[in-house]
Amino acid sequence: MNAASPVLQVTGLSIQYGGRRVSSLPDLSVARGEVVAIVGESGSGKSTALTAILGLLAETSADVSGSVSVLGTEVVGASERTLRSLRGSEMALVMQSPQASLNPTMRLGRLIHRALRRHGVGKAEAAGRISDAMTAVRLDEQILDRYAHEVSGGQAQRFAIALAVCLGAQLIAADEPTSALDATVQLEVLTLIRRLAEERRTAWLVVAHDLAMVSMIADHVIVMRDGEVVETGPTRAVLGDPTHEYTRALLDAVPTLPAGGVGHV
Amino acid sequence: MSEPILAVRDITLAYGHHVALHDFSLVLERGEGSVAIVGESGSGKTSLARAVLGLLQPREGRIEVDGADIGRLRGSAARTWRRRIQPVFQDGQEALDPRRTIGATLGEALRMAGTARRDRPARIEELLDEVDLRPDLVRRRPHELSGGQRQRVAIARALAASPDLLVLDEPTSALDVTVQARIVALLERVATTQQIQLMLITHNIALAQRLTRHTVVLFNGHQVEAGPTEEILRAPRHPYTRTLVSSTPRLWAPLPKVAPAPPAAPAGDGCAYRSRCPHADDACSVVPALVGSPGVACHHPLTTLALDAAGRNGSH
Amino acid sequence: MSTTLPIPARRRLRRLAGQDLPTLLAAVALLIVVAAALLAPLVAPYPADGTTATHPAASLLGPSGAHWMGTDAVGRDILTRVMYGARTSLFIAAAVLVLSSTVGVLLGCVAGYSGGWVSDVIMRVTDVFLAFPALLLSLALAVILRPGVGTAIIAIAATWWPWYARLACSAASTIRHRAYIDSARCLGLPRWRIVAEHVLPNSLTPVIVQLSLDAGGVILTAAALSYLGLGAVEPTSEWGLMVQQGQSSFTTEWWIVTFPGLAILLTAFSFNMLGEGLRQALDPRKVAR
Repeated sequence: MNAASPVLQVTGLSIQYGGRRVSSLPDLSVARGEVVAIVGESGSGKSTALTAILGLLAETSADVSGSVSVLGTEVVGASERTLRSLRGSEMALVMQSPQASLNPTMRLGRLIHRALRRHGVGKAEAAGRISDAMTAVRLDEQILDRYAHEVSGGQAQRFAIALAVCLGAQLIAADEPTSALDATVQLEVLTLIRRLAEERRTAWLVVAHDLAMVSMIADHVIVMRDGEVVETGPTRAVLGDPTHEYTRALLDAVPTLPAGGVGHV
Repeated sequence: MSEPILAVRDITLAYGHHVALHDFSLVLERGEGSVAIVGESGSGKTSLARAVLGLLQPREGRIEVDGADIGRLRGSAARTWRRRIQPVFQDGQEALDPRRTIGATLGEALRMAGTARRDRPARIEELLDEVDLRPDLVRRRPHELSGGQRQRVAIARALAASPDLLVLDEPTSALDVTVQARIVALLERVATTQQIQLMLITHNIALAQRLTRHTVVLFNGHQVEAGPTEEILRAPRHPYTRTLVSSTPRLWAPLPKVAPAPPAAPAGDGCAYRSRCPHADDACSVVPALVGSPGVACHHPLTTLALDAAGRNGSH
Repeated sequence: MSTTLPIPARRRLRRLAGQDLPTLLAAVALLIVVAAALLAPLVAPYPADGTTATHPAASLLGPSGAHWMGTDAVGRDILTRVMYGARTSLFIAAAVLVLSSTVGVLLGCVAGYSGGWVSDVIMRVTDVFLAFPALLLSLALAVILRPGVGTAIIAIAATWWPWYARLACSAASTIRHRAYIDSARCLGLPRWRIVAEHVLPNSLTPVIVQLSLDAGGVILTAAALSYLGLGAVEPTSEWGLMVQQGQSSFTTEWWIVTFPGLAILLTAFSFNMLGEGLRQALDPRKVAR
């Protein structure tokens, strides 16, 4: 595979429920080391698009058309088997509240070992990969002895990312990865996303509503409203000089502190 | 000089063995503007809101409204006090009885406020107009409304009681951003036109800046800083406040290059922020008192000078 | 995106009627039973047989054009008595359910909303009642009191209300933490009004489902009591009683037992089906699409 070809390429994606189009994404590509954000409000179709890209709508009543290609593998219409092999090893999902998405009856260490074994990683290799991933997300390995409810929200979110990293996911999709976290923890996760993109060349597709946060991490932005893309382009251009009035309205609505003031730490 | 509209005197709030808020005091004079209680999860801010609303009895201390201890009020005096302080909760869906029409919900509030039955329909229309809702919503039920509309109804219900103080518990965090902005504008407007003071409970310091004149910062059940909102945002003196202010996402702010904060160790004795504080030393094994005005509870408060230096070093 | 609204109850019911065939059939069957009960004096072939009349000359006749379900040992028309029996059974069921759900839901709501020691006292009493096997307790009560329809009602209701108390208590204790209850408290609503106007109406959905699931059970229990001679007594038409009277001659005069037995089966089964259907239809976790 060509190094320059994108990790994720979406073309003409359209999702319908009972004949009603709820989300459409004509064109989206995420390259290695790139962070792309889909922003919008509830009902914009941003999360629906994300679930379709992950192939999670395959066995639902949703009608998905178009093409979603992850590292050259087509997701739309793919068999459950193909999807299973894609998920985890090539692409992973990080959710809004990680504690709810991690099995509460297992220690985190067991959870991560099982996931690796399912993907055919041997015991010896697993230990190395885990310690590497834990270092990448700056988590103490002690945390592996705990259960999901025994760690903080920020730690759980970083663990979820570590899980994706150690499975070798090259595309990580994140649905509102910081909105359930305390303010002081949000920055940690944002920094981590950006760093993994830069150091490990991970491709990120982040769904978010917080434009301030998006401006801090994303290379490209797609603004969605009522299932349609209203504006798309490099973050600097879209958020710095929006051409669509809806983007402007979103920007104006962000409850943000004036830039400057207290020094950024 | 009239009594303060709200005086919280040395309260401790607890659930069983868990102390949610330690020895907290706050005085809000009439006409003195609005106050924000800022903190993250586990800070005790929601418990404080519940105590002020009379939904949680303090284990120690007392809460006075217009000089009267609300814990001792009974009968009609208690009902009068209740009406003066009204809540707006985070989720309008949860805050409205799902089986009731909007008209019935507002009618109940008006009945409790002593509005005569024949005056109620007109008042309901006024209230809906006040919060920019169409009058034909009276026959709808909460699930037929959008999140923003439900929050407006919740605000209208609070206004029906003609309160002096609105306690807002994360009033916008369940809403879409463009809807948030409109609700904030509405809250600003009713606070001004109806001379209602706000007590805003939030994790979002930017929202505090928009709506309030005073801010109290809570960390782990302790008041760490208090003062004018502007001051606190411009020159936070407690290390925690500073982290909070600087970690609020802003447009185009650069990401920190530094390693993320180490996981919080068990607090032990002394200052609650000790385990996360870069300036902690032996002095911090004693719980710091809130001193000065604007007040800060820290043995090593940051001076403006130190802050500038830190700001320069941290930026890049 | 992530918020989906519960379908309004009325629409869900309508949809249920359109899609769920077993529930629809159960509803139709129950409608027939209710109609038979209500209209018995008008449509039964021999209305007098439903109560006191006897016709020794026509005893033990098999099913025929004149007596579709045959006659019993004293010559009464079985079809007529099955229809009148529906009156007794449905009356007992309605009385038991009204009595036990009223008591149970009121106590349960108060317990659930109040919490603390109030809840402890009410729920411990409830537990005591639940500790006895229901049928045994009913039997014991029925033995102490004089046999009759009234006795059956009291005996069954005494064992049934604790279930409603439990149900209402758990619903109310969830509701009490809802923000709309806090809002009502902040308006100064007195406690009883909060329970009556907010907690009670919102606790009713599970109770309604349970009522319909229980109706079949009550009818079975009432029939059992009568069968054992502790419930309805002659000359009242009652299905359990009729089964008891006919069982000795089951091999020869099979119709005496069979038709009232089928009536019990059909009615109890239909109530269960309806309850099951209602439970699925009113399940608040079902979401709109």
